[in-house]
Amino acid sequence: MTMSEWDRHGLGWDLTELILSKLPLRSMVRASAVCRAWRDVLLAHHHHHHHRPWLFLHGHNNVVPRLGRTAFAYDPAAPDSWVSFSLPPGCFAGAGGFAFASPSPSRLAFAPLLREGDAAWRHAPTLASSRCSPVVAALPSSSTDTSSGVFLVVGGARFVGGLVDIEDGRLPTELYHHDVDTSSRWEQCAPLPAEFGSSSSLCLSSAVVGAGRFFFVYGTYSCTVSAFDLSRRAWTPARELRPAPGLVAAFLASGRGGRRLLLAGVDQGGAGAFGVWDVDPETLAARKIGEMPPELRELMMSISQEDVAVRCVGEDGLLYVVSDEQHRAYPACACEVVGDGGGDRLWCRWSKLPPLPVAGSSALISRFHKMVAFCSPVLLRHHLVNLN
Amino acid sequence: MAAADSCDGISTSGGGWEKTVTLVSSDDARFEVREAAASLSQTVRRMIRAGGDGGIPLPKVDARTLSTVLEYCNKHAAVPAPAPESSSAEAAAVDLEWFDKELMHVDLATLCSLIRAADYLEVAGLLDLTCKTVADMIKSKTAEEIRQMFGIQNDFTPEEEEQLSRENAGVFE
Repeated sequence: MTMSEWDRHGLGWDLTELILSKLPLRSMVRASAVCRAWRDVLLAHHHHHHHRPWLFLHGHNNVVPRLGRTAFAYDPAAPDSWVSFSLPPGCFAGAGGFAFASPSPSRLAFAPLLREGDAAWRHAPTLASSRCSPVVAALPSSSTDTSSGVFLVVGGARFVGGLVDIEDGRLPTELYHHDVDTSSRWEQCAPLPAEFGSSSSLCLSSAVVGAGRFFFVYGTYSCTVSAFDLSRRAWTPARELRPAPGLVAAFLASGRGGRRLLLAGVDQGGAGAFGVWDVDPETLAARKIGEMPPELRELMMSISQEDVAVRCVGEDGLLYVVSDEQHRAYPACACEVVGDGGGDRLWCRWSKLPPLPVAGSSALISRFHKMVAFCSPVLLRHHLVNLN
Repeated sequence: MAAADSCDGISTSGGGWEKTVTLVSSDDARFEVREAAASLSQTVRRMIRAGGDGGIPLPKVDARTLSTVLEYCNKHAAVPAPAPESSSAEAAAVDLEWFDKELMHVDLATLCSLIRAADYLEVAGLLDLTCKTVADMIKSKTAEEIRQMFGIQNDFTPEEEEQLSRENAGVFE
């Protein structure tokens, strides 16, 4: 490797890496095309790059699928604007750096997030159970090797003869090693515990903790929680997690570094307040660490407090709250949980997200029948392809 | 804070005298600095502990660069222990931020020597500040603009160049 051209600035490999590591991801990808030295530094850097979760919003149109290609991405390292890009109409989720789509109820397709074009999409083998709206997670298959991973498909509504069977939601959990070899099959494991009731992803949130070993699933309205233990291939018994009696809708996310859990939700006992709790993943002991400030609450929850019209997605200590109000173009805010450890050493830093880049075209927004929201890191290694 | 502004600031609020150390640059300029400020450099701190007299030699930093580094250290060492949520702590933070911004109004060559000096002297805050400043200059530029800014030759082959521009199309433009 040659540092020659760049080296007359005398910064060397380590300082070059230090500078480039401070760039937002899109700038890093651009910087990788400056010279060989920078490219080599960035190719080596991706292993220990701290990938923060981005927020993704993807509009769906049931009548004209073509319109449902519009997607917006927000990078917390470049907080001034959104990135517009395209996703296929069937994309319903994203996690671990991938976007997921279901070309049919028994198929799962995946592509690196932000990679555009049909060529980026790969198809996993057929699932044992067809379903719609499952929860999809991406976990590292071992804590030491983050470049190989598994996809986990949980819950969802059963699909029988082209109809959604809402009576029985007990579908097996299915697991697939997507990086190993393309001929591997889905492995079937126990279904989500019965206590969850509905297991459509619309009513579930999830979090990966414990170096990718535990996948927690939480019922937005049932306040039920259970964790899938990847090493034992089993679910823990369902428990209730309702730190405030007035909690009417809540969402689970992982805390910074995936060591703790975060719960965020609307507490009607607290006059419609939106609270955030730090949760111990073992004992489920919860401690309130913050509340959405009044000026943001006004922006996010302006309609009647009876109606819960916000969603929250998050991971790695960063939460995004998105209002479901289409006519106001889905205002959103972020809550970063800062501090170290748990409980009283943590606090929340709130910020408003810029408006979606649809200025002057509110007609575009009004064409969406549904806005899918998810959060996921965007992986540098997906965008630094080796030169032939 | 008077102590932070005066070049040889050694008086303290108690009216007594604070311990100082002498740092010697590569071009033999001598700087007398409060020990508290000099100790923001882990390298200097270790050398103070190791003892010795006649000043601490810093053969990798010239006088011009060292004076800027010490300006940073004097300012940052003058900050009282943070008492979060007090209005004076907030004002001090705003003042520091403004100071840092002003300090970074230098040309690229100076910035690069500050990065090297902050790295060698192990002044973590200054290293972060200077690297962040360079990153901000790169952030919204194209590869060609970056090459021009740093005077870097494009050492990719035309085929690679072609592949890179394909790769970086769309959302990365």
